[in-house]
Amino acid sequence: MVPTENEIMAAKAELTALSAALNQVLFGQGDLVERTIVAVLAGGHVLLEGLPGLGKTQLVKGLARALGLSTKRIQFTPDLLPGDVTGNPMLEETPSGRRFVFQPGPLFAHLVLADEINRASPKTQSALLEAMQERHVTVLGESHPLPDPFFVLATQNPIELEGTYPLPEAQLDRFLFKLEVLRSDVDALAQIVLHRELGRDPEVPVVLDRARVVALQALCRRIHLPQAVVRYIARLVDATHPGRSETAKAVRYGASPRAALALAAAGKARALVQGRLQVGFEDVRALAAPVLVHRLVLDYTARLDGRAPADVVAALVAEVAPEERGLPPTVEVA
Amino acid sequence: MRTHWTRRADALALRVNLGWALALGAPRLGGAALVGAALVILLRRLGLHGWAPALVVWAALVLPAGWTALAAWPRRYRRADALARLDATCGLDGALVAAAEGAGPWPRPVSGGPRLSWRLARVVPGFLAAPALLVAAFLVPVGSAAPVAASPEARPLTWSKVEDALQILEEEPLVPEAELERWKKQLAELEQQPPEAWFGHEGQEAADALWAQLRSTVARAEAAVGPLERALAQEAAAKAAGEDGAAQARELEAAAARAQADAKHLDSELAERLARLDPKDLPGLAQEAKDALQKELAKAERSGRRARRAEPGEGEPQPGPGQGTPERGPGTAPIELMAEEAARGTDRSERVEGHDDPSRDRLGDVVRRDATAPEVDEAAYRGAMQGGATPHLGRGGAVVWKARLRPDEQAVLQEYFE
Repeated sequence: MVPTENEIMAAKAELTALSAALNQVLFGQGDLVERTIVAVLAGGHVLLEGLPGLGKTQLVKGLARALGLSTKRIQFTPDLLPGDVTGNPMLEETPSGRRFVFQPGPLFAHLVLADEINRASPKTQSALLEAMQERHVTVLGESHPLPDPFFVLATQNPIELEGTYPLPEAQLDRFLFKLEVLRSDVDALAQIVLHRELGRDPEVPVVLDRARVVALQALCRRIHLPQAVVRYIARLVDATHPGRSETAKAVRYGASPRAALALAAAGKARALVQGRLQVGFEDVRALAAPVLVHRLVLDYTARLDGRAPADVVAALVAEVAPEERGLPPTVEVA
Repeated sequence: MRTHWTRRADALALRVNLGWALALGAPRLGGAALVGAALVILLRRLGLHGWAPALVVWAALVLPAGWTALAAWPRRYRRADALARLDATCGLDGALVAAAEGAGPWPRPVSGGPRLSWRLARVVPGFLAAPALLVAAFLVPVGSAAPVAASPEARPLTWSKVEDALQILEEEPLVPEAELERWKKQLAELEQQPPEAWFGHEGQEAADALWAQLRSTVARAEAAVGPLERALAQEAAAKAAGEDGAAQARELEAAAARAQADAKHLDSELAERLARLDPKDLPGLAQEAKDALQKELAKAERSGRRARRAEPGEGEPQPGPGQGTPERGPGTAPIELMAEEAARGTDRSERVEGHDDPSRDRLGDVVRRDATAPEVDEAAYRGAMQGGATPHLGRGGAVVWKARLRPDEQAVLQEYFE
């Protein structure tokens, strides 16, 4: 059922307030804030990539505070074990005797910050990513559901790669977005210096609560996705595969159907953030890069040419037109 | 709102589909025009004019159109495609495509939209070249591949001779009418042959046989009347000279008898006239009657002579330049470019004059023929000589000064050497 105009307007007002609150945490990172909110509404996990000190942790803390959700932080290291993430059974003395009691790990929070996820061993990464996908943890044959909503915001450092374990493509596919945290410009830095103090977290108002977040997620799923946009998403994802488009010559492996689902869900969330009843082509175009960049495996020729996945996605968006049938060579866009 | 957007979408779709038609039609039309032009030239070369080339031109224009329509159909730009482009370029954020699905209200009209422009530089040459090729196919001069049909003016010369002879013999009868009719029939049969066979070997043989037969029959008829006419003339000349004329009268009787005997070779009227004569009474006829008979015979003989020579009368058309060949009649040779072009001269054997290759000579060949006469040095003759005598002293050595110098010069030399 398509949401009503009033529902959309009310949601937009709340989301605008959320965005304003987070913009007080991160100055000059409007796109990053908007995409993070989109990921929350779409129920997806986010992989943040950026240099240390750019505000990734602050973003997660501020988001948890504004949403009124519980938050945990895990600093990934090579010696971190899966049980350190998921939780361990503990032997407990009771009047009736000894028994194992499951002690939940840091995953049991609404918002989990997995800091420097690529420093953990593949075994630990796998445990985290399984929880991200299944939204429950199984220990000693017993499943423990994770709280709802459950978001993971993982970070990784593009430098200091020695001793790291890069995430395999199959695990990267679990993340809805891969967002690049960029360095702030001079104006943003001036704002930071003016409004922040070293060692003190900023004050963030509580904008939503857990129930409202769940309701907004449900509302997001009711946003209308027009058939033309569905076909556009399908053609865009199909065009990432070699031989399916001119740009895909530089691609070795294209995006999975999960990428198409991610684009559709993220498009709905963006439409809701912007107060619309339906998803538009611009939503898909705007979200194509964060959805697709970590899902493409480029050919060695692209690496030799110095082309990054973001360049390939930008070329794909330029190549694939919104309409299904292309223009003839006798007609060009002025 | 709906009407506004659907009208804009339809206009956009029409423009894009027209672009597809142009893009796909240009190479197809160009290719079809090329093939069509080649076919038109081929048909013209085969001598087919009129509906056949017109049909080719029609096909060269219609078939590419159908082919283009078939090729463009899977690429056709629908209203949904146009609405999607309008939605994306007008910044409507999916409102237009959602409204088209009935999932929302139609958005208000906005300015802007897809800014499309034509890029026709690649297709215009094809559309211009196609009619130019077809028109050029009709204008370019081509030779005819069909055998050169003999024109009525280019008939075998022998036919003209036979016709002239028949005309002469009809005006001045000499041979039986049955013979004339038979020759006419045979000539008509020859004319009914296909024109390309007129100058063939068999056609020429048949015409020559007819002409020889006509000449032979006419000569026989001439021989029948000629002696009698000459006898009448001699007899009249003898009487005019005051001679006895008995010998001429006997000769006249004999000639008349021979003419009556050969009357079957003559025209029926002439033969009847001769049959009424009594050779014995002929010398005794009035001179005027004999003169009239002689004139009539002379006219018949002249007719035969003219018929055998096939002398056309004054003012009749003469054959044009050249008397033709067995493959071509008299008259001006028809100009055909392809005949000379296709002739590569492989059936000729040329030899450089003056270059003798003894290896090619066969026994008995004339290798060399000189037209020069032996050179005779006439100055070498010094007159009659006696045996053993030296006619002169020579030209060198001591002879010079002993025989040719004067005595005073000899004395000077002698003194010097001594």
